Amino acid sequence: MSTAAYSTNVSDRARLILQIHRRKKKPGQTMGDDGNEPVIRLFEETLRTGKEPSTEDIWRYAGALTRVGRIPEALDVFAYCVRPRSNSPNLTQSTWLSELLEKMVSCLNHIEIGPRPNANKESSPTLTSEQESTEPSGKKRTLYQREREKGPTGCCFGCCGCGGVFCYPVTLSCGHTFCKRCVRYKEGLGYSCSMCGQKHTFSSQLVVSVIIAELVEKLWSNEMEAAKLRTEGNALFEEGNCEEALRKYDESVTLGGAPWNGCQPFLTLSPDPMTKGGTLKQGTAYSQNPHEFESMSEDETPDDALVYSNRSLAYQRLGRAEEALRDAESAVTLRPKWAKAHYRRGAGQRSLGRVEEAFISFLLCLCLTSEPQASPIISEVTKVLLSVLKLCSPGAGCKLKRPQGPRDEDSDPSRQEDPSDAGGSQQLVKPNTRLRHLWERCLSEAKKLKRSETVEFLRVKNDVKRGDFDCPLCLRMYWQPITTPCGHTFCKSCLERSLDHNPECPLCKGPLDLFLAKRDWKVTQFLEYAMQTLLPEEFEERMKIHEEELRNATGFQDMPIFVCTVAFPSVQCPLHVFEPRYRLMMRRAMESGTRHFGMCSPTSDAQGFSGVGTLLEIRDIQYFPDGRSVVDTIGAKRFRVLTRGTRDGYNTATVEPFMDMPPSEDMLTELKKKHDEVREEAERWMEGVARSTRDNIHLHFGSMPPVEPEYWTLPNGPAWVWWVIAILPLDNNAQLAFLHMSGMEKRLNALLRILGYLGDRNGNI
Amino acid sequence: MSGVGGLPRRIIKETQRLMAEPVPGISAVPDENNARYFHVVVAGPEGSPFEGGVFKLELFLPEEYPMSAPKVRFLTKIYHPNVDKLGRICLDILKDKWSPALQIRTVLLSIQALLSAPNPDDPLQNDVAELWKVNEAEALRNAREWTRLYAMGN
Ligand SMILES: [Zn+2]
Ligand SMILES: [Zn+2]
Ligand SMILES: [Zn+2]
Ligand SMILES: [Zn+2]
Repeated sequence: MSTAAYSTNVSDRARLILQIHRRKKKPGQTMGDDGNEPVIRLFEETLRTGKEPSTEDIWRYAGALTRVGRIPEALDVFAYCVRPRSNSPNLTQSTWLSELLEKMVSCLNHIEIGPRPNANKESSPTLTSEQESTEPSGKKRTLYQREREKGPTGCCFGCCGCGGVFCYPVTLSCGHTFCKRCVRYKEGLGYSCSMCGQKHTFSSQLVVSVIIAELVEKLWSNEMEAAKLRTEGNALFEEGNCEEALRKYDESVTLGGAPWNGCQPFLTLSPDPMTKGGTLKQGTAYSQNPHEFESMSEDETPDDALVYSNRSLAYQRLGRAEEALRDAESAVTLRPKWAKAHYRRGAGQRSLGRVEEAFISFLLCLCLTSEPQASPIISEVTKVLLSVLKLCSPGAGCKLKRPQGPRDEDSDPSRQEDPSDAGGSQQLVKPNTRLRHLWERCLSEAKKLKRSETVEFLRVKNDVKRGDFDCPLCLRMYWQPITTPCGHTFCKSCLERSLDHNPECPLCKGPLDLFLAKRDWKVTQFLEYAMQTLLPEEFEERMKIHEEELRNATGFQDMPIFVCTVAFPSVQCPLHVFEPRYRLMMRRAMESGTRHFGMCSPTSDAQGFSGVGTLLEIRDIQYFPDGRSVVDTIGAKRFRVLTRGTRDGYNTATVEPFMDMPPSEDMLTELKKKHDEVREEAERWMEGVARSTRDNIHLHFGSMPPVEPEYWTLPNGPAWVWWVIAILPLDNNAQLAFLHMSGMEKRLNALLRILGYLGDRNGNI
Repeated sequence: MSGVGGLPRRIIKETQRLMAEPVPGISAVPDENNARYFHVVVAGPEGSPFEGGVFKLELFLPEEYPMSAPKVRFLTKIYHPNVDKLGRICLDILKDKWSPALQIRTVLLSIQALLSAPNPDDPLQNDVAELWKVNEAEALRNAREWTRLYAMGN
């Protein structure tokens, strides 16, 4: 860009540049918005020329600094803008401030945290979550996202909605469990999961999950009682009876047995390094309904963090700010990643006139709030930001500095520059140490927050027995527990097997046809998490048993045998699976990943099925709503049956591979000649077949396979021979005879004979 | 294929529980050679015409158990509207009302209950059921007589 361009009105040009870029990108969306660099340069050039920039220009300059991510400098300039005796910001200027706020939030959300000091791999169970947050892929998660996905299953002992102890637990089709009243309901859309967004498709009603309700009652009866008291407190609060509400909250706190009242919060604003025990269970907090900060949300069941948060609000209303703040800090301690707790703390600090601290709290609250829910809070926090800026602004007499000398275009200006930069050649506004210190504190608090973990308030005091998690079908600990819409829970494989026979609940006989048709069942995460956490050894053992069973049920040692028809190598074989035992067989083949089974044809003797068969590989399965399926398979190698057995109603066999004897060298020329002759004959025969028949053949078996380069070396000979055998109108015995032949020559001769016979008939017709 | 090695864990579990906590008035012991075959003895319930009798039954768990119901049969002759001459029992849970959540224990309890409360409206043995409806006193007398003849002193 040439200097001549500056002759026009700088301010206009800057506005133009910004407008262009604004149209392209939404504010606050990108780090290196290239439209802003010119604005910054233009502004600095203006100052150099000695012209006095307009107020509007200075605001825009601050905005440009914000957009390029130079937050400390932006703070300096904004503070200058709102210095005493300046006009209060107009609408556009307020927008600049909101944008600064958003930028700060995004900066905090993407903050990097190094490994925790003095934490080593062996002794720190929390290290995994830290590694997660700095994954090498460069895909950094925001605090908000991380919170939602945290935990081995993304679920802790509390409700997926309110995070508190369950009150009438209901498991949705996605596998997440909520208190009945915490399930999101939208008119016309029905129930859906606020955790993963999935619709509750199985049923239009919510039925309490029996096993979870029993567990909750057994394990957390105290917490349930505390929750009840809190709800009563909420009702009193809504009536405006703060004093009475407080009494209920106090009772609830006592009952909840939480040892946190008045304890040292570990997320303080003091500069001391955070200290926190690493033994607390990893849990998850959910920032629900943060847009309803000013009211008690009806959708929540209480837990102790909730009761502190609510008591904090009650104190706030009564003007007892100190106590309000103390409770808010307890709530933050219990659930460091709960946006509302930070909000309450911010409110308490603001009431006590601690504006800077309040701003940090509000900022952290925003970091933990999801995009759409954040917007109502942003305007409020923007006001707090303005007060902070005013508080820290330089005196009224403060003047802008003139930059000395032209800037070196090539050397990138230091973004997060040292505020004590004495030369200050790039600094137009004197670094505002107070604000810069505040920003540093924001950064370090965000780091602490990122490292922090939720205290699992639902601790398990009673002994949990493995019998508490027994599946009513296999009488063992659940493996992949699935909860039906009628609220009953079974292992996935147990339920599937039962549904093979009957589309109803094995316990209550409730209809499950819709559930069956859906076929997309998700593990009940609460139960899986509970088993994994409370009975880790048993869980591990159960997993091993499951894997072993699957291996045994599908292995080559004891191969499942589908007794139905003669299948051939390389030839496709579609199957309609409706018998329960074969549904089970297909599922096991898919689940274990082997995707194959043996196909033998039925025999009338005592053996029940043929001594030679073909391994079928599953290419695809299409399910009917009632659980029947069409399985698309293709023949692989042949096998010979050694011993026969049964498992769960279907046949099994130990088998050995069965293949052609390789042709001897001296026979090879002869064999190739024969091959070509038969191939020609087969092609001729195909031409003689009626067109409709031929179309039908192609539809079912595809077209005749081409000849492989070294077909004589293949264990089953050329594929096209099997294809022809499959399409010929042969009876079962004739087909089986082909399967038994262990030499290519024999097969070719037999085929030639049949083709000749059929050819004559074709000719006669 | 019914050696213990190939026996589903559920059957093992049920057997263990039947041994450890037997149902009062019922004993069920697996056969030495076939873990799916149970020798069952049910005591005639108090207050029923079968009181004092000891009834032998056989119970077999088919290959598909628990997906299909156990097969149960009276071996001791019994005068009952829901049990036929061959000892076959008319009980819904052994047929279409079977559920894999039911167990050997629940089946045996149901049979015990059937002895306490015969159901002549859902008969298997029509002549017995007929008499039970027309002349219950005589039917009860017969039942007691059969109990004495076939189910006692064995
Ligand atoms: Zn809830
Ligand atoms: Zn969900
Ligand atoms: Zn199970
Ligand atoms: Zn049910």
